[in-house]
Amino acid sequence: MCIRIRLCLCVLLAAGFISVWQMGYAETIFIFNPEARVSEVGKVKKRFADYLEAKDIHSDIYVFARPADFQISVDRLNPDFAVIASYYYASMKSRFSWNAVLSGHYRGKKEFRKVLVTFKSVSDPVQLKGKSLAAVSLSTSIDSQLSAGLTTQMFRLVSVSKDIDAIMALGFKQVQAAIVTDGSFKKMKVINPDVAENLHILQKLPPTPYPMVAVFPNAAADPFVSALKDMRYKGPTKQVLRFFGITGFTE
Amino acid sequence: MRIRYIFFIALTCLLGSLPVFAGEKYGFVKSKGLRQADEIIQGFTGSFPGASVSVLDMGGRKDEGRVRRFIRSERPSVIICLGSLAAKTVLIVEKEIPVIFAMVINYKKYDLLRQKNVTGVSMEIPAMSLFTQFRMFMPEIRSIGAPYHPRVSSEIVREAAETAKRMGIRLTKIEISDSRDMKRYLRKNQSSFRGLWMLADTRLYNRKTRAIHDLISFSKETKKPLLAFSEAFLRSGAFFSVSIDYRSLGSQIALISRQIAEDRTPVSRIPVAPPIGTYTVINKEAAESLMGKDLDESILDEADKIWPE
Repeated sequence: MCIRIRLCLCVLLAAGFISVWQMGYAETIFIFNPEARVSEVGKVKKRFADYLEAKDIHSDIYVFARPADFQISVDRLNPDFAVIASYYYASMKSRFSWNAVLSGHYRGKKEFRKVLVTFKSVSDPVQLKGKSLAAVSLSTSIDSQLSAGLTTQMFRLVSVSKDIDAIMALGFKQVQAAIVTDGSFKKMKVINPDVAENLHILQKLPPTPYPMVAVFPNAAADPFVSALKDMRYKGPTKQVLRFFGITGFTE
Repeated sequence: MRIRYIFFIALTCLLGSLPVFAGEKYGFVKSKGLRQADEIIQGFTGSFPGASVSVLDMGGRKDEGRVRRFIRSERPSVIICLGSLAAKTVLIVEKEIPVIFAMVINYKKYDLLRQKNVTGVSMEIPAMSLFTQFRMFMPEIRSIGAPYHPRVSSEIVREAAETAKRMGIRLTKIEISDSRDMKRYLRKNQSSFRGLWMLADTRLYNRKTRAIHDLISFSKETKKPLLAFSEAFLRSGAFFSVSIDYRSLGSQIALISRQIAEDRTPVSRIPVAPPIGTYTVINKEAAESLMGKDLDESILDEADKIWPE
């Protein structure tokens, strides 16, 4: 065979191999955010993957509902990135050798603050022991928000999808406490003072950062991190950001 | 011998002091395999990790023998019935074990649900919750029109009017006995309300009538925002919808189950509760049309979902 033809064949073979290798390679992204709006998980995953694809990033996205599943899957799937609740980042960063590269923000604010709302007759959190509490999240996430001396083990947790439901649950006396944002409680005082007048803020909880983006060891941050920074709170990516309760990612 | 006796007594005391709920079982009976029923079970187990749960799917068939065998083999401490078929069948065969019902529309019409071993969560979202959400999106709303059929919704509308009054909202009750009169009555009363509330009134709104179309077209023509009971009406132009969030419902049922099984609260002392979790969808196009330049996009963040996606 002519040397030129052989060379062409080699080049074609190499090009084919590279393209097949690239097609097969995908960034593995793990998501764990107990405060997320869980009702649209399938659509959010697709929108996120489509956005990354448009940036030439192939991705395998996994959304976890329980920290135990997340931890088991890290060993099995060897992920590249994680988009996680800030409390989870803080508790697991050493174990996974995470490097935090981005943090979420809501209209420029990097932290949110929640309050513990109860009936006015409750003056001490100890009175809530064994009682029910409504909140938008899992107990593990709430534990990180509670003040010293309080744990979710003290309560029976009722999970709702938004703050207004948590306050209304209290208003209907279905629960004895609610954890909501300060802003939601202030808004309730305006839109339904009849409900709010029997309630008060028993405790202001410590500020909590919005979800974070972390890189696993041996993964290259770019172009994934740049793509996340460019994500805008409009169009198809709005639904993805809403899922995390943020309006964008920043360094 | 004495040591053995003391050991036996001590062991008995120890076992007696263990929580009585250690081996509680929760039996779900589903009328059929609906997605909503599965979401309820997910919400239940999410809020009550470690709960021992077994599920019977009746597949839409009333089979008392199957339900009886399920109860006999699983011996649940609490039976949770999802749907009216499940509730009716279970309550025919079971009179002692506590029963919690959910997903039963208009539960008051079922005499069986008045048994002393029964409590539940209704399917009717309280008017207080609906009007609060109306104000969340449109804080300036002070009057709401509610078309209703007197044979179906009189009681709901009367109670809602009292709730509205406490919130400083005037509820205009628009009684319509013939669905063909929808637009005429809306026009007649239009100066007395700023927004509209579409009740789940089966006599007014069904496949045989044009009342849905008339209500939505009136809402669009007069720019009066419409609160609907289902997301399905957003496509035609309703402003927002509020329906039940089934995961939250599962979480609420878990709470009631624990009151019964762990706290030993008698079922007769647990009244039927309203659903506390809602699923709210807002129509962005309608919001833009209604508010124009004044639309504050942050109000959209209050909803569970923005339509169109």
